[in-house]
Amino acid sequence: MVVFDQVSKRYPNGVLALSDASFNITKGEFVFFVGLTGSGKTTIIKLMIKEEDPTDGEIFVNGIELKGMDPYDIPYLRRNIGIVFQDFRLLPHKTAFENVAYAMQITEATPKEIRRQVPSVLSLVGLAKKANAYPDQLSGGEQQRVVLARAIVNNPSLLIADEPTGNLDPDTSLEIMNLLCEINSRGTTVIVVTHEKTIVDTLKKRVIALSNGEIYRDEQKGLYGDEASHCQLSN
Amino acid sequence: MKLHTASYLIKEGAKNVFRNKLMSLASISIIIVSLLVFGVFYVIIYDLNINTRLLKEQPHVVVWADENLADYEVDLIADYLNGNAHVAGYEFLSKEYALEQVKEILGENADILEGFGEGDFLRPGFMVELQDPENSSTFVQEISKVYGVAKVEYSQKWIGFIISVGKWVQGISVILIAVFFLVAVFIISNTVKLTVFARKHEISIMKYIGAADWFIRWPFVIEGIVIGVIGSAVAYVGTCYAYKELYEYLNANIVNFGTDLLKLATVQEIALGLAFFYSILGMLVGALGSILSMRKYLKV
Repeated sequence: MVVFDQVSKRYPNGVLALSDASFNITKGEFVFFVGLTGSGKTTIIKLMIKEEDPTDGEIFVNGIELKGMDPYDIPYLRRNIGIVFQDFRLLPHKTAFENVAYAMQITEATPKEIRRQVPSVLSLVGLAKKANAYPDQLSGGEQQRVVLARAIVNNPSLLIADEPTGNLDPDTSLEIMNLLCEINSRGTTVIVVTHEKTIVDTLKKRVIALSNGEIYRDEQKGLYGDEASHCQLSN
Repeated sequence: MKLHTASYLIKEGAKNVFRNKLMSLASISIIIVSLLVFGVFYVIIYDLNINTRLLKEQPHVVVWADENLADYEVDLIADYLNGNAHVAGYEFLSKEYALEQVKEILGENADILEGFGEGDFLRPGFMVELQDPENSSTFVQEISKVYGVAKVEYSQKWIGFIISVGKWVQGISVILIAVFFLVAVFIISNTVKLTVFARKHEISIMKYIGAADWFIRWPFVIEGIVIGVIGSAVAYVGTCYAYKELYEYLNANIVNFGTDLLKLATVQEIALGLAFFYSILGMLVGALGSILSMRKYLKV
């Protein structure tokens, strides 16, 4: 599903954000990436969605090598990846329904398909009654649910969440994580970048820990870990 | 692109015009001003062309020979005309023909001509058609020097002047229109750039979700086209109204347009061409402005 083979990334300003990173995430897995701010977690996401290109190494997503990918094919890659951001990134002039529908419109889905699919995913995330609300009329948790609905509406094989609970209270965070687990249970591979020790320790999923751009721990049913906890406290 | 996608993108573009009212208003104003400038030159050129055409259709140059010339000397003038490069053709006006003309003018009093022979006192002449009326003055200068030519009637002395003025106006207007076109595209692209800049966050979200560049770009292009259409519609109504007023004022106060010598086109005559150029230019400027302003923000 996602393969990083000895991937390094050095930014034009000279910062080495990722060094010789290798991992293999298989279909249907649920993986946490943990680590300090600046440890390389976000760079990994940027590389997965081809927002950035690696300096060295090879990356495969859904069996496609990203290095030689034509820029015109990038939108098609991203349509197979649902993306959830910490700051939600909803289109402000569109309602919850329209935001979710937009992800289908870019795939040229028919209005009929949109009318059928969007209410269904909004129900799944518990927002059926807020379909006509604009983002600024929704709470943080509700906005993140809309983002989740948007991310899964095209049935992507991979869902990437970058600090999805970073701006949410603990109860809402738990609800969002439960939704992610439910999405995962339907067969979607889920990758979550997080600082939430409680969540990581509770769910006991695969954990890949990073420090200074290097992967120093990759374990199944892992915990947040002392090093990462220390990082979180120091933040 | 599927039909429902096109319909969606058109709706989005139209919505954007009203969402960014101030920016749209600024762009529409620029298009109106540019098109009005274009319109002024358009009607001037249109009217100049009409009058040049009319002038070209006026009677030809008439060369009168001395009445005392022998027939062979008149033939020499004819030979000269045959050899002159400016001459497209000519018609010989015999003394008999001239006499008939005089009799026609005199009407019932034509009998006073009795005793004056068969028009010997009248001048034979040539009605000359030139290859290009623009060369009238040169031809007149040349023919006046020919032996036996008594008089040259040349009612088109100012044809050359009108034509050269027309050429200057056309040249200047082409340059001015080009400059205004570029200025309009530049200003609109900057106006749209401000809109795009304000929405670059939205554009980056669209890119992250997987929207193709064309899907993001089209609503902006439609927005530019709608702005162009609104601008050109306002400019069109304004130009037609102003021209109608001017036409009626000039017709009533200054020139008698009943003659064929000077004529202004009616609003109906200019309306179709003006509508065509305004709509094409308006849409082109709007769309081009949008496309140019978008390029930078699509790289996410």
